[in-house]
Amino acid sequence: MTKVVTPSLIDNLTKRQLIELDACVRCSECLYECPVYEVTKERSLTMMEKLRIFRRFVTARHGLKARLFGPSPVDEGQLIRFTEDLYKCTVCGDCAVVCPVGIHCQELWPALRAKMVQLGYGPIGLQKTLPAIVKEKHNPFNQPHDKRTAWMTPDIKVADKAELGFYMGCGLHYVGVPMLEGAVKILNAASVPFTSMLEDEWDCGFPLYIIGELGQLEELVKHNVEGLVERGVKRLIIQCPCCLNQIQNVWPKYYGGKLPFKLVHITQVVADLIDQGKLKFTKHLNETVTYHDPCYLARGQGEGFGVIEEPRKIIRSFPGVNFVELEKHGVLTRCCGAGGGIRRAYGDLATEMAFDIVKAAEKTGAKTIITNCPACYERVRLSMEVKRFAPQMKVVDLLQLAAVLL
Amino acid sequence: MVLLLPEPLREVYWNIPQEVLPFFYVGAAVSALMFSLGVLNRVSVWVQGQDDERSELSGRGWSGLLVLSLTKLFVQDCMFAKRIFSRSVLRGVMLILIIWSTLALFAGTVLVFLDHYLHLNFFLRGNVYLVFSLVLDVAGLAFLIFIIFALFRRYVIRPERMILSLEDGVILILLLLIGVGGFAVEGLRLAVLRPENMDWSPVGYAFAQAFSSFYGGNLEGLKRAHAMAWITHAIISFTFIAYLPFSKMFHLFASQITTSAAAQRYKYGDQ
Repeated sequence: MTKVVTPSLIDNLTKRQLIELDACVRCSECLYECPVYEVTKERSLTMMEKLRIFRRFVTARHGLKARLFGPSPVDEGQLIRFTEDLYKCTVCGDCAVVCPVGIHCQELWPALRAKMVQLGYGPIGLQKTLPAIVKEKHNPFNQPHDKRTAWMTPDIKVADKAELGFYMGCGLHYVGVPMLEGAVKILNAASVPFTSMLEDEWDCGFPLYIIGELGQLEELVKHNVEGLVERGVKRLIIQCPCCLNQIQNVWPKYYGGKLPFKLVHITQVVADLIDQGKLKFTKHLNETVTYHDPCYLARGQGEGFGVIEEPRKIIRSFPGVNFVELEKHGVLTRCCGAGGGIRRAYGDLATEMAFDIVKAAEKTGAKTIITNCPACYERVRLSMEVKRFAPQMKVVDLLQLAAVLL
Repeated sequence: MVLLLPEPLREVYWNIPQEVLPFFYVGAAVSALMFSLGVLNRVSVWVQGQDDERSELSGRGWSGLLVLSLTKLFVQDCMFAKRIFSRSVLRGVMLILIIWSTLALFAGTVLVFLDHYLHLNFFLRGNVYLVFSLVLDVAGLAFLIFIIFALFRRYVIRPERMILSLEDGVILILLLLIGVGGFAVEGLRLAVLRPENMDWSPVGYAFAQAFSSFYGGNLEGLKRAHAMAWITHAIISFTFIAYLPFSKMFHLFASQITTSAAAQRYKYGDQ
């Protein structure tokens, strides 16, 4: 049992985050919502257990006794186990929504992960390869940077400069191309001029931020912001919820101030276009569909602050649609298991969580799951392949479907 | 022979031998010292945190954070359990019971202390005392209802995903003993003194009836029991106060700050 006296465990935490360590009442409310606990039933993976264990480390290192008589060593084995448990979380924020005392683990966990990276205990497994990949290829998928816009066809119109910008993001360029095609076709059909950085665009930094690797963030952020400003962007459309969360909540810190453009999710733009009569869906769907709310879109920074109604408005405007809700929807949506960097470290766990969504969708009688996030889009489809689920449900992106129905 | 008093009156330290009082004061001092050390232990970590310019915690030191902790207690989320009610009406009601009853009982104890040591002669006599006693009896009953239901929920109903710990049981048992002990002390005092208006302390009155029946009117027995109950109540209360900041009960100081911060998070479109 090796004991170590670590460097500071809290120098990157805010006062509020330190108070959050003491605010937990251990009511178990987080257990009711945690998708990881749903699959594993492991107590150490719950928010309340992680808080309790980390608080013990903090008290030993920084409490009153430590300040008077010097820090006590912590058991390195416990620190390693804590780090492993810390990374077995998708940071979906479901627990934060239901937490009666408002503990905001969507900010706290990345901060603790950054600390574990600094101490040399994180990240985990294949996550360690991510910084080098992003540095070289400006995307987390290890795909050639010059293939970023390979999906674009000559009929797609993207202006060189415009007040409306579109930050497309790596997930859409490399994994969710049908989503991006759908979005761009919709904007072109409604004659909405927009610009985008295209091959100049770099990763938003979310995959690095969420695993605690912060070294490249300033460079990524400044490159992207300056590129958008050069193109005259005053209002920025974002389609990927993880990008939206990153740009909204993390970019300002690394940019050094308020961003020089307003942010909007693409479904908010499309819903407005429908209201204004600029978009009409002429083809009939004639299907029973359900919609999976992406966690980072529905929850945003906390309950009530996310984008929930606009996607539903779009779906309900499809002729002939029969829309049914998943049991867990809106702000309490279930995470697909793709987030938090968990895919690279604990792929099987991520697959199980995604398959829970398929099972939930099956219960509604729907034949199609509509998603609205490249991570959900990829993970839910993959889970059915891995589980050999037959007959497979269709998984389609919202704007991919909308473009087909124009 | 029963003693009849001319007006409602509460004599502090009634029936407590003088030789016990120094031990009481020492116990109170030790308990307060342990409590203070415990609070300092936690707040000493808080003040080491970074400032976030978006947060009202920015720039605050020890006293600022403790003042914030106190003032945030009186916001809607805490006093009316807003976040809890949205998840469960039953748990919301339980939280309101414990918050309001604890505040009332704490305020009552403070007022007794002030009235006695500052010689205010206001809260502990006359009609004011009757109302004072009624309010505290109702608060004490609400407190006990919460504790008993919390024990029942945790150890009898046992919701599937509730993880039980020894600490939960220790805290609830201590609180139960404090609540029952307080009524026992009151009941034994009323059983001896039999004041005219003791139905203004309805729960204490019920305890008094039970004790009178048990002791068969034996005044000396009742007085001895009262003194023992008072001493036991003091020991358990001091133990709980000393233990509080070292347990999850410290959320009493932290949770109102985090709850208030949660209500201030910004939304999409603000950028």
